[in-house]
Amino acid sequence: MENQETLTLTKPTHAEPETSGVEVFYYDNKIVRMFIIAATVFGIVGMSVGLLVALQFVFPELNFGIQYTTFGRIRPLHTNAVIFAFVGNGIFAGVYYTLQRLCKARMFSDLLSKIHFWGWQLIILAAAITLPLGITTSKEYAELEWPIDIAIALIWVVFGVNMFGTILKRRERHLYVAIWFFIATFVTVAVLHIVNSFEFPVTLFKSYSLFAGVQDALVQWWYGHNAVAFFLTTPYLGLMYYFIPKASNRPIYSYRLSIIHFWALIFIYIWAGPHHLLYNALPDWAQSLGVVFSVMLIAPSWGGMLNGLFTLRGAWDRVREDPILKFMVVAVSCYGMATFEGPMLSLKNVNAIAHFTDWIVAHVHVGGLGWNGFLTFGMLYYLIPKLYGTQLFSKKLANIHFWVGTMGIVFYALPMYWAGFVQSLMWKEFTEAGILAYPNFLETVTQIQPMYALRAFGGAMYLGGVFVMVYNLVKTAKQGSFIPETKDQAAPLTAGYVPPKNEHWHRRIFEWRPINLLVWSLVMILIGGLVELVPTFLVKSNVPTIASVQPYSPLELEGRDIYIREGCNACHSQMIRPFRSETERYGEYAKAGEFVYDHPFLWGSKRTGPDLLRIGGKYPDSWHYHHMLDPNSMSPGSIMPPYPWLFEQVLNTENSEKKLDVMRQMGVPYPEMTYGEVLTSIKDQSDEIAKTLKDQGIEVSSEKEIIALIAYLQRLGTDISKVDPKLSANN
Amino acid sequence: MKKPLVFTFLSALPAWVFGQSSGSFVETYFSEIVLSIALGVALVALLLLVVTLQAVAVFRKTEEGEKEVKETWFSKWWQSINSFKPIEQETVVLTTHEYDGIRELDNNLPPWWKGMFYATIVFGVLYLVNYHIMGSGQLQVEEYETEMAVAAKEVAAYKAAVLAMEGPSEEPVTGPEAIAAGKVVYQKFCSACHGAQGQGGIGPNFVDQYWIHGGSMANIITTIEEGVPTKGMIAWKNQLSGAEIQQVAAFIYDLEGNDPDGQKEPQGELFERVTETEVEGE
Repeated sequence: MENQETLTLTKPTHAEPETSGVEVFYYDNKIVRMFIIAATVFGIVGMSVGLLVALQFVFPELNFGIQYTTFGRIRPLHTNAVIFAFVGNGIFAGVYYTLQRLCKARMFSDLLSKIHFWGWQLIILAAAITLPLGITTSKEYAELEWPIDIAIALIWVVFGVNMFGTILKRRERHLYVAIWFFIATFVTVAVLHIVNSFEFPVTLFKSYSLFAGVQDALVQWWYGHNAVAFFLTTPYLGLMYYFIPKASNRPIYSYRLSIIHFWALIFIYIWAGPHHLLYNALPDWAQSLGVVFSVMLIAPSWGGMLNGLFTLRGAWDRVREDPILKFMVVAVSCYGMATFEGPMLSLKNVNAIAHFTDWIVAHVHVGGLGWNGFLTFGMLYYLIPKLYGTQLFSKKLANIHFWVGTMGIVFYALPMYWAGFVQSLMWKEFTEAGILAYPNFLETVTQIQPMYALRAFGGAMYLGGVFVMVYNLVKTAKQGSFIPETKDQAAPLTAGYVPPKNEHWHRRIFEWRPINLLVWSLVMILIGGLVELVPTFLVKSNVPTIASVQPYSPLELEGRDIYIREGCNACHSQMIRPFRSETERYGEYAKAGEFVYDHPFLWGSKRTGPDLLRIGGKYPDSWHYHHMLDPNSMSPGSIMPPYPWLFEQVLNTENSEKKLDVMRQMGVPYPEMTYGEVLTSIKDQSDEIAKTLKDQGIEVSSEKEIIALIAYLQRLGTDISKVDPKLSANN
Repeated sequence: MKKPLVFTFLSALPAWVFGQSSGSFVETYFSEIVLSIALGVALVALLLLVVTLQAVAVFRKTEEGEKEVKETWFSKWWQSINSFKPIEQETVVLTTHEYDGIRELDNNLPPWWKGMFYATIVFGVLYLVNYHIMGSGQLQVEEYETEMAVAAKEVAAYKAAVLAMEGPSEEPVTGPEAIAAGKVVYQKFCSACHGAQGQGGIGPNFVDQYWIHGGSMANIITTIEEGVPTKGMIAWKNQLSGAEIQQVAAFIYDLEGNDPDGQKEPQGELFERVTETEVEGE
C-alpha cells in the first residue's frame, strides 16, 4: 500500500487520479449487532454487581456469608465487567459500525470479526469465573491471571489485524479523525497490556508480577491511568467524532482543533500515571512529572469536548428535541468535568486530601457513568433504529431514561464528593493538644455511611434507566426488521496518489498513510513511558535499599497470597504517606526500600478501612483471630465482612516450594530449600502462632489458612524497625 | 441507618465544624481547603453550563418565528472569546473533506483554549524548575519534617498555655464525673480487648485484685500511656489526651470488686490497695 510514494514522481499532482469504476459492497451489520447485545447484557451485569458492592457498604451482610461474593473479590468483577465487558463491547460495536462506513469497505475478514467477538466474550466469561474464586494478580484493572492475559493479547491482535486490514483495503483516501483515535487506541493498549502483564507463572492460576514494589507500582499506574486514557477515552472520542455530527447533521467544528488535540492528547496522557502515586514512596522526580503532565492535559482533553459541543452550534434547538443528542451532550460535558477535575486532583495539595477517599470514586464515576455510559446509550439509540430500518419505539421513554440516568449520576457523585471530603478532613484533624481528633478509624467510616446509602440509591437509579432503555430498544427492534448488510458503493483507490502541494501538512503526511499514523502514534506514546519507567529500573538511587528488610518466610508468603486472594487491598492501603496525620495514626511513613521483595506491590488505592503497612505487632494474634472471625467483636460497627472460611480451610502448601523458586528467579534472596525444608519452616512458624493463640485461650489447628494470614499481618511493616543485621554484626 | 437523618446533613459539613475546636487544621490546610472549594464550585459551574445550554435551546425555540436571535452582551462576549464565525458565514471555513456524509469546518482554535494550553505548559516548566532545578520547593520528606516541627511547636505552646492557666496538676483525677467520662472512652477504645464490663478477653480483666503491670493509679496510667507493645497493647498517649487517659484510668480503677459474667482468670500479681481509713489508722 505504502509503496505509492516511490511510484509517484512521474504522475501529475492531481488530488485524485481518474477512477475506473464504481464497486458495490456490503457493510456487515451482524457483527455490530452482536457487540451491541454483548455490551448491553454485560452493562447490566457489571452495573448490578456495582450496585451490590455499593449496598455492601451499608449492609455488610449482603455478601451472604460466602467467600465468592465478598467485596474484595467482586469489586474487581464490577470494574472489569463495566470497563472491559460493557465499554469494551461498546467500543467494538462502535468501531465495527463506523470503521466500515468511514473506510467505504466491509470489515477485512468476517472470520476475524467472529473470532474477535467470541474470543472477547470467552475472556469475559473467564474473568467472571476466576475473579470470584479469588484468582487474581491484585493489580487494579489488570487482575486477570496470566493465561487470560495471553488470550487478551491474542484477541487484541485479531482486532488490530481486522481493523488494519479494513483500513488498508479502504475506498476512502483519507482517514477521518475517528480512525486516528482508533489506531492510537489499538497500538497503545497493546503496549500497556503486554508490559503490565509481565508475570512469572507459579501454576496455571497463580503468577507473581515480574516487577516489585516501587517499580511494580509505577508500571501498574502507568498502565492503570492509560487504560483510562486509551480504553475509556480515545476510542470513545473516536465514536464521538462520528456520532455527534451524524446525529446532529452538523459539520465538525474545527479540523485543526482535531489535529492538535489528538496529538497533544496521546503524547501527554502517557506521562500522567504517577499522579496515582503522589506522596507515595515513588521518587519525587517521577511524581513531579505526573503532576505537570496531568495539568498540561486539560487543554488537549477539552479540545475534544469543545469540538463535540461546538459541532452542535446552530443545532441546540434539536438537542432539546432529540434524546440521542441529549445523551451525547451530557456525555461530553461529563468528559469535560472529569478531565478538568483529574488535573486538579493531580496537584499535590488537592491530592493530599482526595487520595484514598471516595472523592476518587466520585471522579471515576462521573467519567464512567457520564462519559462512557451516556455516550454508549446515545450510540445505541442511534444505531438500533438504523440497524432495524425503523424509528425509535418511544422518544418519551428515552427522555425518561435520560433524566433518570442524569439524576442517578448526580445522586451517585455528590454524596461521594462529600464523603471523601468529610472523611479526609476527619483523618487529618488534630486537637490542640496534638492528638488525633478521630483516632478510631471506624468513626470516620460510620460518619459517612449515610452518604454510602445515597450513593447506592443513585446507582440504582442509573441502572433502572438502563432497563428502560433495554425495553425501548427491544420494542424498537421488534417493530422493524434487522438489516444484516447495508449496501453501498464507491470507487476503489488507485495507485499513484500524490497529495496536492497546497494541502494541509497533516493531510499530506498522515491522513492517507495509516502506517505512518500508527508508527508515529507509537513513537509519541513510547516517549513518556520510557522516560518514566527506564530510570526507575536502572538508577539504583531511586529505591534506596534497607538492609534490615528481609524476604517473607514461606508461611508469610502464603499468608500474603491469601491477602491477595481475598482482595484485602481493595479496602486497605499499605502506604503511609509522609503526613503528620498518617504517621501519628499508623506509624513511620513508607520507604521505597521496604517493598523490594513485594511481587506484586500491595499499596492499594482506597482506604475503606485503615492502612495496614505497620499493622505487624500492633495487636496480639488473638485480636486478629477474633477480628477476622467477626470484625464487629473487635471493632463494633465495622463494615468489614467476617471471613469464617479462613478458619475452616486448610492452607494449601503444595506450591510453597515452587513459589520460593519463582521468587528466587526474580531476584528475591531465598536460600535453596528442599520441599521438606519449606514444609518444616511453615509447620514451625504455624505451630508457634497456634501456641501463642492457645496461650491466649484459643484452640485452633495450625494448618488453617487463618494462621498464615496472621503470620503475614504480624510481619507487615516490622522489618524497618528491626536492628540492621549488618550493623549489629559490625559491633 | 444507624444515624438519624440530621446526621446526613451534618456529615456534609467539614469535620472541623464539629471537631474539637481546633483552629490549627484550618490554618495548616487553608490553601487546600480553598482550592477544594474552588474545585467544587467549578464542577457545579460546569453542571450549570449544561443546564444553561438546555435553557438556551428552549429560549431559542420560543423565538423560532424570528430568524434573528437578538444579540445580548453575553452572546457578544461568547462570540468573541471563542472567536466564532457567524454560522451563516461558515461556508468560508468549510473544508472539502467528507466522510460518510460528515463534513469538517476549519474554525479557529478558541483563543482562551490556546491561552489555557500555553499557561499549563508554562506552569509545568515553572513547577519542574522550582522543585528540581532551583530546589526552592520542598519535596515531600522535607515538607513532612517542616509539618512535624511546626506541629511540635504549636502543641508545646498550647500545653504551656494550659499549664499557665491551670497550674500543674499532679493529683490524679478521680470522682464520679471523671469515672463517667472515663467509661465513654473505655467503651470506645478498651472494651474490644478487656470486655465491656472489664471482665477481660484478649487482655486481662480489671475486676480482680491481680495486676500484670501494677495496680496503683500511677501504674495504670503508665500502662495506658506507654502500652505493652510486645503483648499487643498499643501506647495510647498519641491517641488520647492526658485528661482522657486519667479519666479512663479512674474508670478502670473503679472496676475492681465487680463481678461480671465470663470473667477471665486472674493474671499477674496480687495488689492490695491501701484504703484511706487504713492510712489514717496508722
